[in-house]
Amino acid sequence: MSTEPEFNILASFLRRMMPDVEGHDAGDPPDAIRSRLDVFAAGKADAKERTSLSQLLKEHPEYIGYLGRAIRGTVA
Amino acid sequence: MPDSADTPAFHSADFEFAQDLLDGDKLAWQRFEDELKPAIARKLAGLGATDADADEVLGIVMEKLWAQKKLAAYTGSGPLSGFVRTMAANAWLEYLRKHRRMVPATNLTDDESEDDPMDRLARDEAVAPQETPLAELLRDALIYSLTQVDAEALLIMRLSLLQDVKQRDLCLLWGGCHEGTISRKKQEALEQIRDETLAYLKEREPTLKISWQDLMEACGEGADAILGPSI
Repeated sequence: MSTEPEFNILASFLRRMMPDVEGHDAGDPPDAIRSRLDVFAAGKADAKERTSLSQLLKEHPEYIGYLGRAIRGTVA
Repeated sequence: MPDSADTPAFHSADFEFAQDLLDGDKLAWQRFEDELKPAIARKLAGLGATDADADEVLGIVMEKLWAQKKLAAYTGSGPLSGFVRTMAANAWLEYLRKHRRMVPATNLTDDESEDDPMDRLARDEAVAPQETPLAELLRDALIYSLTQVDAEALLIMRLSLLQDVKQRDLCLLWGGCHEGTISRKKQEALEQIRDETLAYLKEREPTLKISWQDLMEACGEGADAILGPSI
């Protein structure tokens, strides 16, 4: 089972079926969420906050694009 | 998502083969009889079709390919054999439903709703215009599986594979954990997706004996067969 190609196949399929399901960008999240994501992207979130944000992002994959950019901008 | 995943290799020889078939080329037709028909038959047998069922479904596939001109949807983005095998799987699913050889729809996704989940999906405005039952079923199964995956593992996988966040950076975000921990999380997420997807399909369509490899083929190189060409 090869993780990357298989997940990419599924993500591409779902993207064609439901454009928002795999984290397509929907603009910046609301301020309260954005600040939490920024803290997480800076590596300053504790385990409890990581768990909470993971659940939030599972329910709102449209925010993952923002988080990805924040991480790349922070840790580069 | 890496560019490579969005731009699959172009199968020029298979595309030319399909064009020859569409043009009615006799040699191409003979090759279809020799290579692709047996591939379709093997696929149907693997999905649990009897010989009699397979003959009937093969006829449906042929009608789709030629009379309904579905072959014209083949773009060469994957092997032609994968395209026709996926079309056969889709036709088999339609055949099963037509003959009512299926269990009643379960309510895995919404215990409160009395609607058939397939009907709900059919009303979804986000669906692709050429969506077919197999695509609906696979989407339903995959989305269900995503709801079952561990949230942290799923986030790690999405950040890594869709947002190109480096593994060592994920380690920093996850409290300085070892890279092996991140790798295991990603693997666990995909295994959960696989197991939950297949369990869902088995529950919804027990007669459709679809394997993970079949599903990968249907979602990957066979996607054009069930969704139409990507834009």
